[in-house]
Amino acid sequence: MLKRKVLLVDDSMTTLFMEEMILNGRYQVVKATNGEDAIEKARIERPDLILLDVIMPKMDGFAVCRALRAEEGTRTTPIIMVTTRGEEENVERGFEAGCNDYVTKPINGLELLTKVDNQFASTGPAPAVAGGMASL
Amino acid sequence: MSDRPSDRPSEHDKPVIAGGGSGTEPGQYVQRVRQDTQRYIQDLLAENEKLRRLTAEVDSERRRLEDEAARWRDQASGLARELDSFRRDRERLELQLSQIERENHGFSNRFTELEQRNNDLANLYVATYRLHSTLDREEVLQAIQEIVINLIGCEEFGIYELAPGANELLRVSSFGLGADQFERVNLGEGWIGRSAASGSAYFAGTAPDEERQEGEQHLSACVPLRLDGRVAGLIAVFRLLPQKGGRFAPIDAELFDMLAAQAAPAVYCSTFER
Repeated sequence: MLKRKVLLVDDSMTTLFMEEMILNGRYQVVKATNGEDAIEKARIERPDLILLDVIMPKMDGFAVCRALRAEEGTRTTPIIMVTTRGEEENVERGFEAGCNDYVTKPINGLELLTKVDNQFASTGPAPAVAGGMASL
Repeated sequence: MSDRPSDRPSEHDKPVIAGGGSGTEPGQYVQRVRQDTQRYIQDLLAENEKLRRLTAEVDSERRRLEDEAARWRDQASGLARELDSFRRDRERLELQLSQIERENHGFSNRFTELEQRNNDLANLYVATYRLHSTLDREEVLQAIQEIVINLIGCEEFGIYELAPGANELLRVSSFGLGADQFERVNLGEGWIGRSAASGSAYFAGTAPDEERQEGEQHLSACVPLRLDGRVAGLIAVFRLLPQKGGRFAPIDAELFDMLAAQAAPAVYCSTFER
């Protein structure tokens, strides 16, 4: 079965690497390092889910999220925001921008996998591919 | 013969004796009484026979019911034994189930621990990889920043260098701190200076509060960075991200240990490239 595709968006190489380590065994991973790159990759790659950092130079995660929601091809693509500060205000802004869920930094592998799996569980059965943190 | 009173001779049937006005002969009366009596006896015998048959039938039915009751009793006894056996089986299975549940719970906990451990190892691997993936000084400092921000979860910290023989720490990189905030720190002053001078890490809650200097109230940790057995720098962590709840996680200690041992060599190596 084809692995689902997850687009990782973060300007921090460390965070991108960490997210890739967590998700790579279970999902196909595509990376973008800024907001514009993220929108472009979302158009071309048609990911099944987008993991989107909030704080990025030029175009922040909220703006990227709104732009993705305005596009026909990514209107319903699940978006999980990665927030540095998990305060209520930031979380509310994320949901207002159209995200489906959020995780806070520092990223916990178990939490991230659970939230990604939950998003896919609501859209259909998860791919029958072994992996996850245990396969690192 | 019927039990109805009207079938029996009554007072009215009694013959009237000569001179009584009926004119019936006594012989006829006796004859009639005898016939009536015989008929009555016949009826009684027939009735008796009927009752005897009925009694026999009732006896037979009673025996059949007794047999049936005995069969039911046997069956009930068998079922009770079976039920008892099922009950014992159920108890045994419940015991097995609770053992399996306990084992399952143990495996589940173990699995979570392993996943957490894998997560921690991934953190360490990513941090080490990032630290040593470049020889560019700015990129090394950027990598240290990213490790402290994204893997440990700090929003206010400074990275310091200590030149050999120098008496003060110089801030070479920071995040969330003002430009003039702890830009230079003398060795032995406050937590930062004392930690660098002693080579021991200071953590809030374990290090003595009275050794803090002004402005260090929010200092959460000081981690000396070692190079070839000497202190070559220090990471001073002030505020943690709100979701950390003001506490370091167990993996943070491992990340600090890794930074203490590897950050300074990485920065040192990058100076050759510069």
